[in-house]
Amino acid sequence: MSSGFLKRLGALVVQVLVVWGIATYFKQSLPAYPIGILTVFCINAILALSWNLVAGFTGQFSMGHAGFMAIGAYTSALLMMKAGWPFLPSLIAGGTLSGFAGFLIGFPSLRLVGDYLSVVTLGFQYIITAILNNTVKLTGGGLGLAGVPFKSTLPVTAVILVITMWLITNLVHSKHGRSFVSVKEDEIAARSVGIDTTTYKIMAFVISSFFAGIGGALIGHYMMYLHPDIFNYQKTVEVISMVILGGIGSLTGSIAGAFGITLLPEVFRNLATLFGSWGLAAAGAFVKKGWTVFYAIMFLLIMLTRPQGLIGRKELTWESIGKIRLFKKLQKKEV
Amino acid sequence: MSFFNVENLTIKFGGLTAVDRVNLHVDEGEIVGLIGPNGAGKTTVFNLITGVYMPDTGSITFKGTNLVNMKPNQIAERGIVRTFQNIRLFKGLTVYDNIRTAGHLRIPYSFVHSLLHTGLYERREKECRENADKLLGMVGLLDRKDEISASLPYGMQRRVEIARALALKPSLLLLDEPAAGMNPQECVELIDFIRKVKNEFSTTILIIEHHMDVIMNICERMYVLNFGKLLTEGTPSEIQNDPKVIEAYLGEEQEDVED
Repeated sequence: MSSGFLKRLGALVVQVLVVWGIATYFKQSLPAYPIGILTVFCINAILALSWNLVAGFTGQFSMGHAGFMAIGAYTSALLMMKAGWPFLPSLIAGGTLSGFAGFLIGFPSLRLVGDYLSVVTLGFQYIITAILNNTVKLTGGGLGLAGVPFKSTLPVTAVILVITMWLITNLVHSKHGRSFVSVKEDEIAARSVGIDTTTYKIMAFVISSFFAGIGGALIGHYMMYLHPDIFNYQKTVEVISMVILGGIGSLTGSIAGAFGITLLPEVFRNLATLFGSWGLAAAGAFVKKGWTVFYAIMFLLIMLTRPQGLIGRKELTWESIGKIRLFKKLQKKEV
Repeated sequence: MSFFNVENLTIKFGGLTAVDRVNLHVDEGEIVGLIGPNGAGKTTVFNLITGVYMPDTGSITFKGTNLVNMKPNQIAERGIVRTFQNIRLFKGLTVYDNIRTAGHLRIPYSFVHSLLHTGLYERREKECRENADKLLGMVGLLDRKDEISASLPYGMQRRVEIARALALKPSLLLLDEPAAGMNPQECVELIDFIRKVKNEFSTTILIIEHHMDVIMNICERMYVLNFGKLLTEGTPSEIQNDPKVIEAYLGEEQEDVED
């Protein structure tokens, strides 16, 4: 045990406590609507981090993450409902089973690259949906699974996000993290310096799908209802767009992207109401019906002007915020 | 038991026998050259040694173990590390991270330590950083360690690649045309550099090169390949005066007249 390790662990505990405190305060003082948005943001951020690890860092473009989420969600929900397990073990079991699925799906990734891998993982997601739809006795099938216990409160999801971020950041800044990146950068070169790319690809899939499973389970415990269609390919695309918006290969970018993608529909929804209340009923209706168009246009503009995402491959730190031109100007003025 | 031995190495691509029954051996501490005209199969020999290709027949033994059927990473683990003719760096990473990525084999700690950043992780990473600093100091790139490797000039990228290979503490280093694209001055520097590498790391080197002044200067012994076959073997002066080698490089006199 070194002092450095204890210090970092202490910092994590402090972070968890602070986030728990703030989230609990929010939960008590804010109306349900913003709390809901924040909770969904936390879950989305976990999902974005998970996808970023396998795609952004290891370069394996998975299109099947909704499948992993579904496994985590149904496992955790069913364990609580039918086996009477407590929340935390169910959640971890959901993540673990999903991680096991990641291990299985990791195998085709050894032979397939790029588009081929995407198609296989997409197929995996459809298989999961099909299984869920046809195991009516266990999962409710197309009728959905109602009565999932509500456990994803804001403090719980926020703390899980902090821990996820801590673990994934640690992992990225280690020899394992560097090996992940080397697989993405140049597989032949990676092998030539003794990196077993096969193992690292599977490892990336397992870890990523573990966290995807956790995120999926939290979705279930937030919505209190599960349906196979929640975990269709659009859910995957949503997570992918968060990562791409924030910056592929940047962890803080994933969080920023998750925040943006969670918030934007709400912004448009409120804008529509606002226009309506100003008596601009036509404009309100336009925004309400056509917001997805704005959404798409915004996305296109970002991809055209900043194809590397808002943050790019860098990490957002307090230091880097200080370096932003706007803040520099402000600092100079103060001097 | 010989240090490094290749026997009867053959690989066919369709109808083309790219490497045809090649025998070569390298003793510990030597610098051995591998030359030949374009398309002679030099790089293919490297690809066979490092496990990128599987040979059709033949054996490759290194310190008594057979390397045939091993994966490239297993061969690198055993201490045979190469550079590439067309430089393969981790382009998006900094120079520093390139070196540290390669050093991962020599810094043992498990996944749990990575996840939790334990004390062991901390000590091993410190070793890794110190080692990377040392290597970069040696190749003279310490001041540019935080630059993205793809943004460096060509000659420097070569040196990063060699430093990256050295991060594995190889016992046999395979250099594939390290002087490609270098001017005469840079070639002289490279010769000194390779000698320095050999002495400081006490590594054995097998080198492919087209620049005759480089290879004649540093190699104690060399092999000449032509059309996949071993043409001859000898010391630089023997090779320079060998009519077969001259013929392979310049063609027969008669043909020249006809041209």
